Amino acid sequence: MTELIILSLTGVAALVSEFLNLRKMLLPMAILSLLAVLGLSFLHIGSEELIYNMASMDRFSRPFLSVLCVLGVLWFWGFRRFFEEEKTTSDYFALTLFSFAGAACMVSYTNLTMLFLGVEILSIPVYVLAGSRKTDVKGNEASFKYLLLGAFSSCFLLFGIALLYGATGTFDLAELQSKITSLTPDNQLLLQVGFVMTVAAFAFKVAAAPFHFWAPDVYEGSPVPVTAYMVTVVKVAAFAALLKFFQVFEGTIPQTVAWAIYGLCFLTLMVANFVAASQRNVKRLMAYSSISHTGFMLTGIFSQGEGAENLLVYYSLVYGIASLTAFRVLWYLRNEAADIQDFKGLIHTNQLAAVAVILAMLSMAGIPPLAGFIAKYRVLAAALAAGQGWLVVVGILASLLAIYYYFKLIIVMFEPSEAAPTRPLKMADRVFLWVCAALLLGLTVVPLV
Amino acid sequence: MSINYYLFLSAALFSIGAFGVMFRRNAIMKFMCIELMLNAVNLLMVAFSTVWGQAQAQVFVFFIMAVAAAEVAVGLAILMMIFRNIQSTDTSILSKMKW
Repeated sequence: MTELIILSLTGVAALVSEFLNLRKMLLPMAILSLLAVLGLSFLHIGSEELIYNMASMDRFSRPFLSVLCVLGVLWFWGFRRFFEEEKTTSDYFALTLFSFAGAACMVSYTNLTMLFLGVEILSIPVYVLAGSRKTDVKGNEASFKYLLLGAFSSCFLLFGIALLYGATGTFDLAELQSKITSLTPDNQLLLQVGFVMTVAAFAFKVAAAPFHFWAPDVYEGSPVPVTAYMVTVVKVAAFAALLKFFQVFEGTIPQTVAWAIYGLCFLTLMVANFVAASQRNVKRLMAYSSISHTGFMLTGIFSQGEGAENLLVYYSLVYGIASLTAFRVLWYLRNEAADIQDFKGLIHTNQLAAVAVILAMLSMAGIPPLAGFIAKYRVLAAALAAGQGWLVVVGILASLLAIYYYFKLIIVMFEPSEAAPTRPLKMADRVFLWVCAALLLGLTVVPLV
Repeated sequence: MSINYYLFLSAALFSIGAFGVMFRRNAIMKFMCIELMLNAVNLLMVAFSTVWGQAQAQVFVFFIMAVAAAEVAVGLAILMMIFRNIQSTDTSILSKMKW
């Protein structure tokens, strides 16, 4: 409860600060409030708190909330210039903080009403942020597509929830779970259709193939910091919500639906990596790489279900940090859509940035000494334990393909370039890159939860 | 009266809305189709709420209405922004990015 209050109040305070002339205080305030939530989550990590039967802070939601806070702090820190440059600083702060409150609802819901509200509170501010470059037609297109597809998938989510309610007569997850096994055949059918529609809505939200077509356009058109926010915080929150939803139905899913779900994982892994290999625009490349990670996370969720939260928390933390690093350097090189050639010779002009990107890429590709390897290994081990050997093979093939396009970027960085050295990074940004690189290396040895 | 009638009616409304979102060119029409889908859900919620004799689904409907209003407010603002830049609400112009 306190966590939600802190986040929402900071958002309100950000709105008020516009006419109180406290704009300078916003960044420390936002970071402090996220750190406070992080601290609270750690302090009460074992305890359980039920919030009016609508949400609960427990062993499931607290780790996810901590990951979100870590990513949020890094995001605010790394992309603070996004706020400094604009005239509407406090609006941007308020929008991000409100969407953060939505993310907190999504990881902790125990009632489907709360899930819907969380999804919308998270998404609506991001629609606005995606279009924050008002005169840029690409940005407009991204914002419009995101809004339209977001609203479209919300409709599916709602229809699914309505059918689940029709079958069981409750919105509460625990009650729902207890009623699943004792339904009349008619209600059983309603329940299954409702489940499929809700999962499809989630697949839209996390951009799993074949529902991913909006993602590359939106990620390319939005400003880089907003894209970084979408592929980290928004995605992690959606995954946590999906996992919680899936755990309710685990074990009662009919065989055909289960195959459709594994098909989703397979398609996502394959499509994302094949298309990514042919990209030249780095932002789009990162978009497809993020979709391929979606495939891995989905595999983890669907093959383990109960107990998959440890695996998913670890995966999303590692993936989030690597993405933030890559997007930060991308933003440093070029404010907007960057061609692969913009990375040419980076190792000669700015070693720290180059090393950070290399670590991020290696981690995302899953090269052994890095945290990304452990994350992918845990996912594939879970798939193997679930008896889905073929999915493991697909996952390994996808990783091999991924190595191709990640290394394409790394090789370009080592090429000699005649370009003048880029402007030096500020101290705070260098610290940011150091911290990210240290986390990517350090998380390998830390046995997380 | 059987619940099935309501189920079929709202499924039909929902599909009409979904097809409209996919195949309409005009951005305003797309938004109206989204509204149609949401109203199909509202109808279904209220019908089920009567079947189970509970009020919670009707409260949910209020949430849906409120959120839909917020979404349309943001959506129309985005549309205004687009209209200022391209002087049109035809979404087929908005396809600068492919693959």
